[in-house]
Amino acid sequence: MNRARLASVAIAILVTGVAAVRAAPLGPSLEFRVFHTAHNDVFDDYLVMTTVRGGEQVGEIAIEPVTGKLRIQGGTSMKGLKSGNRVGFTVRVTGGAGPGDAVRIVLRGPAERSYEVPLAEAE
Amino acid sequence: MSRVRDTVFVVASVLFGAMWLFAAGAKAWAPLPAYEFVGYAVPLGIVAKLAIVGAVGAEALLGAAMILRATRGFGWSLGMLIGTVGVLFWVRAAAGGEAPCGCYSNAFETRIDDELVRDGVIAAVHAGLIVWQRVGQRS
Repeated sequence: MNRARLASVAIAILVTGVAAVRAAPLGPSLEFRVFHTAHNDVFDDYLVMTTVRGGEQVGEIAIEPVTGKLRIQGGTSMKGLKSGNRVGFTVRVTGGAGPGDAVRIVLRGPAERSYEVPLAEAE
Repeated sequence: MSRVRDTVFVVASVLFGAMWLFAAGAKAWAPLPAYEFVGYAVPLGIVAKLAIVGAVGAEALLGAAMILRATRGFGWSLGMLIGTVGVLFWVRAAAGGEAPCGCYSNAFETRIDDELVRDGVIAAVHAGLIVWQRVGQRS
């Protein structure tokens, strides 16, 4: 085998190895974008947009506050979402937003996971 | 004339090789869009993961071989393009043309219909290069 062919095979093995390692943990997961939608002296409102990823339908997505001064406005869970579906949760923080404010979003179903989403990183 | 032709073949081989290698690298680093894409054609889980790893391996081998000139000609690349178009049509039947194709992962978020057009143009260029190469070999 000449040098160019050998190098090609070595590159292919390397890239394939990276693909195998990165693809192994794939499964249902969530992606988040947080938007700061309202601000006044009394409260701050945030919209937590959650997108289902991973190609599969998930059992349920639920949101819960991590700190005491947070309140979820409207629905706190959604069932039977397909991959690519998006759901928005509205969160109200009273008494001034702080850097520690966060919500926990729980993905229920065959692959159960929970994510802590900080509101301070809002767009 | 033959020097110009040879230069065109080398440049085209490196460019198309880079295209394949980039597609493989992008999918290897961020395989989620490709995983969601193949999920329309094969069962998700180990089968879809093996399909991605296999496709990445084939693309990386072809890309590296074309850049390093370990393979001459554009037949393998055209064959891979035809295979890719076949998979795109297969997934399109289930997901529709507006679904993301995941061909270049998050680097370029292309839709299936856009990718079909692009692949058609690239395949036509390949066919032209192959014909030119054959004509050059005869003369």
